[in-house]
Amino acid sequence: MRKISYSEAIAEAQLQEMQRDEKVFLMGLVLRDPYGSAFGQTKGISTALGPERVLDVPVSENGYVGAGVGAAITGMRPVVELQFSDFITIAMDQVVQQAANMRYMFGGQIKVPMVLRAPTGAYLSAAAHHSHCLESWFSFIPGIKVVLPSDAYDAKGLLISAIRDDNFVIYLEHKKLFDKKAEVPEEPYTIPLGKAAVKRQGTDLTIVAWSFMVSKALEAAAALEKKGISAEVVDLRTVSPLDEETVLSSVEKTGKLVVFQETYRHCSVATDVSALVAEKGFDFLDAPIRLITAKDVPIPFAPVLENFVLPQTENLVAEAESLVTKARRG
Amino acid sequence: MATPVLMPKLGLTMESGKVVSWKKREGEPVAKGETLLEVETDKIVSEVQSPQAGFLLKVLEPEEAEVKVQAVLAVIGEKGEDISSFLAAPGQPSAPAVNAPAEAAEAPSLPAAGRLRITPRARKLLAERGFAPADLEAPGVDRIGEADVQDFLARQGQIRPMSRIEKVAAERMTASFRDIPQFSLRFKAELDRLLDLLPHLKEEAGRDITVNDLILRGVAIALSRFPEVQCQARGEGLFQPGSVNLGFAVALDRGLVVPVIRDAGGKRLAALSREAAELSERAKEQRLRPEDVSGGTFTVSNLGMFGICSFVPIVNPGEGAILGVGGIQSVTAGRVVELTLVCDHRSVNGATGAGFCRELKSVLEAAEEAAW
Amino acid sequence: MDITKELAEVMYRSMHRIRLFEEKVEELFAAGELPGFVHLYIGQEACAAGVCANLSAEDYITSTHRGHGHCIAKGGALDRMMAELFAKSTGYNKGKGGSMHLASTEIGILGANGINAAGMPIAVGAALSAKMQKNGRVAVAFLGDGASNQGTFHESLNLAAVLGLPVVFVCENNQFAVGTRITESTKITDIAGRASGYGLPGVIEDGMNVVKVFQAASRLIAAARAGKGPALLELKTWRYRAHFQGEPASYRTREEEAEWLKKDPLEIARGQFAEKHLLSGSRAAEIEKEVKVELERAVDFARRSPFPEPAEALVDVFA
Repeated sequence: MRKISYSEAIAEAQLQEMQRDEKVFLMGLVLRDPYGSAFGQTKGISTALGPERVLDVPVSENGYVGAGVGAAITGMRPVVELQFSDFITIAMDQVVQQAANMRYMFGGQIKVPMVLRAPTGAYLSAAAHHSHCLESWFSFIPGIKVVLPSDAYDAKGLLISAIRDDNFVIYLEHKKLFDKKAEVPEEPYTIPLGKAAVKRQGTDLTIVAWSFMVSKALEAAAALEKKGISAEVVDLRTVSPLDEETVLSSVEKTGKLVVFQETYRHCSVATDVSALVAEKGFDFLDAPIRLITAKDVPIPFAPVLENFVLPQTENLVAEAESLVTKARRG
Repeated sequence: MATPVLMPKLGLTMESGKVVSWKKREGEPVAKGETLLEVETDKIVSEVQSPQAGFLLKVLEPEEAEVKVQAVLAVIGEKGEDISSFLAAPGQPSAPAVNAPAEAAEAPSLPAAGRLRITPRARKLLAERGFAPADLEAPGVDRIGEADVQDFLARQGQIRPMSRIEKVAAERMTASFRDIPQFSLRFKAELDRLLDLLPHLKEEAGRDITVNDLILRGVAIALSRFPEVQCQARGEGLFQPGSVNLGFAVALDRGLVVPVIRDAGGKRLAALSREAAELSERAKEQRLRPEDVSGGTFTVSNLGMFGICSFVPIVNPGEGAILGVGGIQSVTAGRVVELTLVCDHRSVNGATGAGFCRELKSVLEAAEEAAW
Repeated sequence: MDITKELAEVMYRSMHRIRLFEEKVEELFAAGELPGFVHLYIGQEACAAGVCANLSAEDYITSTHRGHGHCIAKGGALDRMMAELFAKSTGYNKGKGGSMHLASTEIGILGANGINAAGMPIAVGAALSAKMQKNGRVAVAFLGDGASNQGTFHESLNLAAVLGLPVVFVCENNQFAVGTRITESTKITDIAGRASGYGLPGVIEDGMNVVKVFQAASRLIAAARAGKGPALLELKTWRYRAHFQGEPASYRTREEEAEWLKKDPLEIARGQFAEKHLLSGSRAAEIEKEVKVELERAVDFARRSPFPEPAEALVDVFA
């Protein structure tokens, strides 16, 4: 099977959906060729389909995200792109107060079939304004589905599902993954939203991760195997709604849980997963739950500082080792 | 803070213990860990230590008293402390029996002071097996985990219910031992001739013939010639079967089964071998039918493949005798096998038994091809 | 554009429905029958009626927190609206929205809105949708003078202009944003002046005169529908009540309130239509009576309707 990159997979998903359904259109900054979005996520689409459904808009996030909402409730299926997920703060009213609430507060009169896509994450010295991971904010608000693909294969399948979903979906693409290639089928396919995947089977502990952290978790698992520790890696794929069953089954099997999250700890997806297992998987636990998260500071520019602030593979290996050997004791 | 000294649970099934002797008197100072008294259960005498330093403020149970597990024996504390709360309660309820939930035994009954921590997973596993955290001795462990529980459970051994087959066998063997006056006759047979003949016999039969097949055929021939050994005691009478229905023991995962080759006397080696193989296979796959395991008149049990030289089997109730077969041994005389005939003395006496042994020996040693 | 008799009746009825509905809401609210809070449209009737008389059921409007007038003028049923204010399950939003989120998307009412200027980009999106589907529909975004300072206002005007969308932004300048007088919040006097900054036409009109409102709106809406792009219509008007019911409105003087009361849009309309022989006094009285009956039925309907079941709170988050 051919291998394509994460950004190519995202472009392909959008192109194929736009070919399938004329109601799907794109809106954002510099989406049209030759630019094709900041990281190539829409490359080739305006060339293939013309510019009518690939709209380059002025830099006005609240305005154009709001326009996306208006279009979504009047028969279209917009895929709105923010150049960086950090800019969602400018559009917060349209995201939180309008899009998320609308179906409910109108008593179910309309659907909001809109996808809001944005590059997320750090580890590239992008500094404070271009490094955020905000998925926990949107998991918090009812009325939003939040999806984070961890590789090119997931990227295409999840985006197609997001576009076909009749609800408001925030799709966060990690900047460190854009160039990473994987085998991706040429034909369209879907990966269900709200369903996690076990990316590596194991018996000694469960590592829950998503987005870029899945790559690091798999690296850590390989290193742990050499030390005689069998780690299971659960890729959440969708953080809201959370796939409780997959997480709980895994912890039931292994008895130990480490949540490996790129971003800050407080009120995050990591603490959510932790609470879930403490509440519904209490009897499965053979050790306290461990959370590995970023330190509580804005993301610094210097690589040495950024790497110190953010979780690294070594942190996970050390934590997992400590957890498992402590439990093994005799 | 005053602390009670409780009757410890010293064994899985312990419900109460006896106070044997107090080593300290009321009012005396005690150190943490110092022995306060000795208690006794069915099995052992044990020392009970003080959970903390202080004074032995009150002794609640005298020597010779039978005290329920977890009940208060004494109170340790500072002089003048209020200990009325320990006196008011007549004693805590006895520790739960085997299958009770873990909560009831959470109260400290370990000699060392301090609440024992245990992970939820470990606690659940313990409770499923009918134990409580207090049953574990895990000194130096700050929190009992699954691994600790698994070690503990492994040390306890396990009980499981008997399979049907095991149950039936247990009943039958007990009955045999109890009701049948059985005696054993040991003899050896030299097999060189027979074993030299084996390749030829295999060729003739057109299939692989085992040593056990040879033994079975030999026994079948001997029984046809010496049927008296099959005589069975039935109430006031003696029953002589009209045919040779040869049973042979087959070991299964759980238990033993004895399929029967009907009319073995009339079946030559090849047929016998085939039938034995087929019955064996079905036995292992649990596909035996009732008629496969009934109507036996004589049983052969072969432990030769386990390296057993000889053994004394138990008569299969309803039959007159059973033959135990050991492994083939190489001695100066050649290859020999030790055989043991066990007979029901009510219907088969020593002479009869010996007669059969002599016949069988002769059949095996003569190895007359024509007969096989 | 000339006003026909039919049109006059439509607009007169519309204004009257708004006036009676709002007065009734005022009464019910004071009596404690309505939960939450309400922002009354009394005094601005000519704006809604005049603009919406140019729209069909398929066109779109987005409204504000002061949205009862817009919804009624766009064709909202008084009983469904009243039931919603009473928090009953028979309301347009099944009791889940209330006054500030009233919507009937079936007739193009894309919601009143609790956030200042938030309806504007949504209307832009609806206009974008209409342009892409080539269905000839237009969108009207109602907003207040306060909203014209919100960033969203500027983003919306710019986006609509750049994409050439069939949307008309109607700014009802009632001189106050909550308690802040416009002279204190805005350097310019006429909000319509901002339109040229974004490359679209800005028109000012007397918001108390329904005929003038109608004619101004008519030109701009027709232009938008014909693909000439968006426009901003500023209507000078006045709300006869406070920002929300229960607020003292101490920031306005008695004199100015009295001045504006003289310009009651219903009286002006009655006078204009009578003068042009479009609506006789008796016909006007008939309409008034019909509206009164309609309103009584609406209140009765609302009162008799059931409250939603608690379990209703858990549905319709997602489709």
